[in-house]
Amino acid sequence: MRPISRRGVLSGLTLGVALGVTGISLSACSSEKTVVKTAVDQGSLNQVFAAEASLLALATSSGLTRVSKIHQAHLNALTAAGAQPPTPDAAGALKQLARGQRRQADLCSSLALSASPRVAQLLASIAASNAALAALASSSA
Amino acid sequence: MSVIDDLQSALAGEHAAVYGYGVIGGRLSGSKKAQALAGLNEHRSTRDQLSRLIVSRGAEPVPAEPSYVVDVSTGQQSQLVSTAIKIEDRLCVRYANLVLNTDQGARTLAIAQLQGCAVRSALWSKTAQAFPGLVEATPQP
Repeated sequence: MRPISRRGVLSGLTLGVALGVTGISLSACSSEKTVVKTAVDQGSLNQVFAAEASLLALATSSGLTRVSKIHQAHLNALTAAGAQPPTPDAAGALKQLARGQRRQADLCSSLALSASPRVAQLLASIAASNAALAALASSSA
Repeated sequence: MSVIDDLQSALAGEHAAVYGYGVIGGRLSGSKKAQALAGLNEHRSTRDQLSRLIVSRGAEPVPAEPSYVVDVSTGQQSQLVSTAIKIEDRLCVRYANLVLNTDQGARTLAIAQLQGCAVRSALWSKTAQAFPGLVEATPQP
């Protein structure tokens, strides 16, 4: 039998304390869910949730795995504390998409006017496609 | 092909479109009928615009054929809608060819009409193409 080294005992204690703290922290979060009653709390949590969700999307699209995990952890904690994810505004998003597609159609059309023939044809076709997409998005919004 | 040939080809397509929309518009009902009549008016307007452009270039506009073959054998709405989509998609190809010309008047008209046809095609089919008028560039599913 090997004697337990002083260092090993300390490491075990540190781990135990860390786990204990985490446990307290988690239970605090879950009890917070039932405690959140004021509109101010709810509003604050929701606002921070929305911002964290945007940061998570940016971090994920940038391929920053570690950063994504941290933002995901923030979101989980906020949800546990009672944050309610905002309801997606589908109609608003479609209108925004249609506006962007129309702008792209206008840009392609104006550039096609002075481009060399093959490039003009490609730009005109992309302009037409974006105009069609915008029309469809507008009709479903 | 010269710019006049491309303009005449587009005009011949518009003559066929005006005839075709007249036939299908008379067989559709409700909002689809209104959509067909709007398409008919837009194609009439473009036909006249093309005729003027051809005359301004010193040529005589091609006349319309006495009649065109329009498949409305079943008379079902799906067949009539499919015919409208074909009319628009074929015109997209003619306008995409017209864009290749460096004649500014012809190219400006072609870019605008390529968009118009692509939008109408999308509104009939409820789907947009990636590259309207450019058959070879369309990605296969």
